[in-house]
Order: sequence, then C-alpha cells, then structure tokens
Amino acid sequence: MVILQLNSISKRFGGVVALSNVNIEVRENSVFGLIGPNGAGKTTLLNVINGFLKPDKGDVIFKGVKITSKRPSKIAKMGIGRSFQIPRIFPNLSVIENLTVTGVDENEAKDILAFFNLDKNINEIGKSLSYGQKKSLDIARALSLNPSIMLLDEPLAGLDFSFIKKMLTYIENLNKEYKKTLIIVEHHLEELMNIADNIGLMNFGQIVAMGDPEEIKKSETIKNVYFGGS
Amino acid sequence: MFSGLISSIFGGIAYGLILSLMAAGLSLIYGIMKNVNTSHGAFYLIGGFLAYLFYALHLPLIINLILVVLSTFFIGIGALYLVIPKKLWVTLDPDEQNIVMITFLALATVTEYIVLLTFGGASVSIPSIFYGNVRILGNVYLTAQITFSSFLSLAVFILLYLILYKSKFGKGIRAYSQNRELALAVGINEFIIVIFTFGLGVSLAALSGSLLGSIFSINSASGWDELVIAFVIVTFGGIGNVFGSLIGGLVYGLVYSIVLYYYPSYAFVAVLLIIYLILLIKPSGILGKVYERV
Amino acid sequence: MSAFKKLTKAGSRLLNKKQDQYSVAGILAIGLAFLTIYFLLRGYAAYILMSMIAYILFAVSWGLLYNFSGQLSLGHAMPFGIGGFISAIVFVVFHLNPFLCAFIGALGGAGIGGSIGASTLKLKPAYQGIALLVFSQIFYWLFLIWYGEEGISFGVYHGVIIASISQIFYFGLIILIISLLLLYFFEVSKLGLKFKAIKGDPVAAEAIGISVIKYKIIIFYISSFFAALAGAFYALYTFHVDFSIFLVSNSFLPIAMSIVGGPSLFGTLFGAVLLDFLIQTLPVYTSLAITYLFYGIITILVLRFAPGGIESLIKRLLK
Repeated sequence: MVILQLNSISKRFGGVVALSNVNIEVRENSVFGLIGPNGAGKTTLLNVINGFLKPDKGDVIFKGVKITSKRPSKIAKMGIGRSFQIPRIFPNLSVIENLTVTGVDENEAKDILAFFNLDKNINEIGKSLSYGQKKSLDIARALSLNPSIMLLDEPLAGLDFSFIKKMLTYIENLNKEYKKTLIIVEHHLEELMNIADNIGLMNFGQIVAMGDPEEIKKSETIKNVYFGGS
Repeated sequence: MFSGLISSIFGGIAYGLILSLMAAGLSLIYGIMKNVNTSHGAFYLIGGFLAYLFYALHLPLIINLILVVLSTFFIGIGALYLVIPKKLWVTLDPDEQNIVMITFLALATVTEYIVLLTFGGASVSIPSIFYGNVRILGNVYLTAQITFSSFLSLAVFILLYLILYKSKFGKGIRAYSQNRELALAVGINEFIIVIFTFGLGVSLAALSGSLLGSIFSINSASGWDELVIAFVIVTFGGIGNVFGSLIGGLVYGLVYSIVLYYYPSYAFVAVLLIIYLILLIKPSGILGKVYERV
Repeated sequence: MSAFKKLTKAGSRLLNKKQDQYSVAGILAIGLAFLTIYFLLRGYAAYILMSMIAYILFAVSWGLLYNFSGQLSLGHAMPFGIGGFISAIVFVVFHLNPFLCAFIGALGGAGIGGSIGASTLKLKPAYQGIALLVFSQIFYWLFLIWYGEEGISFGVYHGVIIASISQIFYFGLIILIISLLLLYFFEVSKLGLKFKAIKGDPVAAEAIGISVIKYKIIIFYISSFFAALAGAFYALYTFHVDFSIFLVSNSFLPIAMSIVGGPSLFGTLFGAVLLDFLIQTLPVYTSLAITYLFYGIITILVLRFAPGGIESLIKRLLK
C-alpha cells in the first residue's frame, strides 16, 4: 500500500531550481533511499515532505490525505517523524525529557532509549552528549512520536566506523521491529543499498533514476551523476 | 479656507523631511548591524540639547550644527564601544539581538536621566536664527526657520547620497549591508564600517533633534516619540533603504498633517495605527521591494 | 476519597522532587516575610510591600515572556497600564467590589495585551520588541487624550473608602503567593517543558509536533495576564491611574529587574524586590532621577559583564 506520494513537486528559490517535477511513491513498511550529490535537493525534498517548505507546485499525499500546506507540527502529529543531518536535540533538556516532551509516557521513553543504548544516560543534559549519542537521540525522539514514516537525513554522517555499524542495526530494526516506513537520505551508498528496498537518485533537483538497489547499482546514470558526465 | 489645510500640509512635509534624516540614520544602522537601535531617540535628545548648549555659548548656526553632528558622531562611537561587546555588534541570532536592544534601551534611559539631572525637566526651545515667514503659494506661509531646516535636510540627503554612492567608503557600507561574507572576503574592514555607520546614523538623529528643537521645544522626555516615528518611517520606506526613509518621511508628514488638520488630538495615534497595520500586512514596508537595499 | 485526601494526594505528587519542595517553601517563606514585616512595621512599610508585590508580578510576567519563551517586549507597560485602567474604569462605572475590578482588569489586560502581542509574532525578531514599544506609546497618547493628565482617581465611594489598606495588602499578598505558585508549577509542568524545548531548538520542536506559533501566543496571554494583574493591583493600592503608567521608563523597570536579578523565576523575583526597595528608599537621599539613572547603568553593566544577573554571581560564589 502506498503510504506517501509526491506528485510533481517543484520548488525554486529565486533563480535557483531546487526541485523539479519530483514524483515518488513510497510503499508502507518499505525503506526508501534517496541518494545524489550535494545540492541535488535531497534535504529540500525532506523539508517539503515535512512541511518546513511549501512547494511551488505539486502535492504531498500521506495516507491518502493532502498534507502539502500543513504546518510541520501538524504533519508530525499526523505521523511523519524527522531526524536532522546535524542532530537537533534539545540541548537544555535531559535525555529523557527530550522524549517525554513529545507526550510519550516515561516507561515507553525508557524502552526506546534502551533500544538506542541511551538508557544509562537518561538524566544527562542534552548538550553534554557525544555526537553519535546526539544523532541516536534525534532519531529516538522522532520514534517516540510513534510515526508511520520516519525521514532520516544522513543518519550515518559524521559517525565513526563502530558507531556506523550500531546505527545501521538501529535503522534496520526501526523498519523490521517497529514496522516504520523509512525514507533515508544518505551518502554512504553501500550501507544504504544493503537495507533499502527502493532507491531514488537525484541530481539538480530531479529524480534521474529510480528502482531497486540492484538496478541502480548497475546503471550508468549513477556513475555519471557522482563522477561527472551528463 | 483651504490655505489652512495646505499650510498644515507644507508644515507636515517639512516636519517629515527633517525626521526622515533620523529615520535614514536608523535605517543605515539596521542595514549594517541587522538590529534596531533602540537608543536612537536618545541621540535625537542629545542633538537637541547640544544645539541648545552651543547656542547658549553664542556659536554661529553653521558651527553649532557641525559641532552637534561631530560630537554626536564621537559620542555614539564611544557609547557603542563601551556598552556593547564587539561580538554582538553584528549578529543574526535573535537572543543576541535582544540583548543589544535591551542594552540600547538602558542606554537611552541613562541618557534621559542625565539630561534631566543636567538641564532639569522643563522644556527648552532653541531660538530661531531666521525670522519671518516665507511665502510658499497664495496665502500659505512657512516660517523661515522651517524653510531653512527643510532645505538643509535635503542638502544632507544629497550629501548622504554622495557618501553612499560616490565614495569608496560608501560602496563598502553598501556591500557590507548587502552581503557581509562577500564584503569581508574582498577585504573590507568590518570594524571601521560598523563604527563609522553607527556614528553617522546617530549623528543624523542628532541633527534632526537640533533642527526640530528650534521649531518645537524639547525636554528630557523627548526622543521616544521621535524614535517611534523614525521606526514607522523606516518600516514604511523599507528597512535598510536610506532613500526609502526620505519617501517615508514625506509620506508620514503628509498623512500626519492631514489627519492633524481634521482630528487634532488623535493624529499621532491614528498615524501610528495605520503604520502598524502596514507592518502587519507587509513587514518589509511599502517600498521594500521596489528599491534595492542601501 | 474525600476532597481533602484528594488534595493532599495531589499536593504530595506535586512536591515529589526536592527542587519543588524548596521552591514552594521559598515562595511561602517570602509570603511569611511580607506578612511579618507588615505586622511589625505597618504604616509606610505597607506601601513599600504593596509596591513590591505589583513589581514582582510585573517583572515576573516580563521574565516569562523573555527568559521562558525568548520573546522581547520593550513595551510591557502596555498590559500593565491596561490592567490598571480597566480595573479603575470598571470600578468607577459599575462600582463593583474593587478586588473583583482588579480581576476584570487583569482579564481585560490579558485579552488586549495577548492579542496585540500575538499580532507581533509574524514580525522579524528585531521588530517585535520595538513594535510593542510603539503600542505602549499608542496607549500613552490615547489615555492622555481620554483621561487627561489627571487620569482616574478613585477610592472614595459615597463618602466611604472602598477598601482599607490592610484589606488591600492581604489581597495583594494572596494574589502574589498564588501567582508565584502557579507560575512555578507552570514552568516545571509538561506544558512548561514544551516551552523549554521551543527555547532549546524551535525547529526541532516544530518537527515533533509542537506548534511553535501556538505556544508563543499562549505565553503572550499568560504574560499579559500577570502584567495586567500587577497593573490592576498598582492602581488599587494607589487609588489612582493615569497616562504616565505607559511611560517607557515603566516598560524599562521590569526589564531591569529581570536582567539584574537573573533569568529564573526566583532571580527575577529577587531583582524586583531589590530594585523596588531601592526605588522606594533611595529617592529620599538622592532623587528618583538618580535611581533610574542607576538602574540603567546597572543593567548595562550586568548585560556586559554578568549576563546571568545576580543569580549567576551567587551560584558562582556557592561553588
């Protein structure tokens, strides 16, 4: 069942075309990977889905409902969670407060934190966490909303090798155990290809290739996009 | 019958013109510091009282005005240096901006009470240098003092234009206010730009104060209304747009004088409300999009 | 379960944490201190204490807006004065119980102040503070036009004084304690946590379902309520209100008090008590002008060298 649909999404900033006629369908419980070079429009697309940006043209349809012009807070409540490229946890709140502020009860919050190996840190103040811990908390907090879809913006960025492995297990479990639909923007292509069901390749604001990881890996387009050429 | 209204309008336009100097200063400062100088009214006050002081010392008018401008220029720079830590001079962080605005407000309060303690609470008026009336058209007259002040204001705007558009320094100011990173990259000295612009901005406020101090009276509580008017003019003309302030000032004077003629008590409040509504509907001002930034 | 048992159960849940226990004890202690001073000194001390009550509420309401939700108002005299005027007008026109009038004034000020404040939310942050200053000036002139320099004096109705000083004092003390308790528990509540989150990172808050704009509007109404309540009480104990209540200096006072005292509820409270005490006593030796001058200078110094206020200095000493 298609849980999220992007129809002809276009967005420009002044003279710069950020997104051009983007069409995507995401099936429930799947993992959709969004890849492409820097500036391709991946984060912009996430911001449109999330409600932080309004597209000039096109619609975002979530569970059959048009959410294009709704406020981000409303969209979050409807069931789309988001983590950020540079983690945006609440630095002035403790780890557990970062979750309970969404309304989730304390016990469930502790379970989620245990899942992310943050249960030893529940009373630590947000800003004292390590980078990897902050990234985990960012995602944990989104999870505590009990969303249907989670938008993960470069969850592996800036992490050291051992943490990347940990994060990958978290992400996989988000999909397998928590049954979340995931849309993941990533540059760590190999890791992403291993867990994604579908990949969308973006360049210059457009989807230039879409398919399952095997197809995309073999395509010429991906080489051109990442290494030059047309 | 009409001549009453027309007199009021010409007077209002002159008033708006002189105040647009102050507004231009506020706009300049905002363009560079990205922040509202909430002490701008205090410099209007300082200008008025310095002019009074220099008049009492029997200095000729031109010397008086030049001294007022120069003194305020340096007082302003000194105040900025003492009161605001350098890293807060130019910031986009709202919390830091709030700190700056509160500090400037405190500075304005300090100034108000220093003036009160020095000169007392009574209103003073700087006696006019020019006497008599100037005939504008038909039955409409303006005092010579007002006429002189208006022409002087226009002259200062021309001077401002020359500084901002024809001098290397002015180019630096405009470049910095449009794109800070780029300006720094080409080697513009940030410290000098900020210092100079602030000094220039507040001395324009002081000039307004000294000119209007001879047309109306001033007392230690003066400056707050003028700050509000300057802010209103700047908003109308487009923030960061110095010549928008000129247009804004003229429009303000026009609207104010018309409302004043028919509803004398409510004129000030009515104009404030009109402008506030404009602020709500179009926060960049009426002219914000049409003109390029300073 | 009887009502009493329910109350004590709720009360004990509220007082679970040590911090809450200390804070409630602190608030009650302040109330007790005020009461004691009143009993011992009576007379003129009553006026000093009542002025403190008004300014504590005023400063704390400003602090709520600034420190708790990061919004600056440079015209907080607006809800303060509106509270004062509405309560005076309601009394003069309807002759209701003066304490009831104070509440009506507080509600009216909350409604008007909150709505005006909410209208400034769309403005750029640097504009918000000064837009509210513009409004306080609008009301300054409006009330000068409507009520002249004499303003409204009330206090005698049909030859009888409407309320005795001790009645007004007790009323003030009660609203002070209740307000402080309400505000404290608001800050540590779930709702308060949402505001702290907004302060920590408004984008993240929005992304987890907290409508930032809705909460900023709510806090404007709450802040305006307490400012208006303060203004209504101020009008009540002075039996007078006029346009000068909207002076910019009056908008500056709560700012100075909160900045000098410190950003927390208790810091602002301390700043208000200290600065109001000085305003009440210093002018005898110097003058009101010098006191205001002093406040301006102190605010500048604190912002420059100890931005956390006296509260932060005390914390540093205790370490």
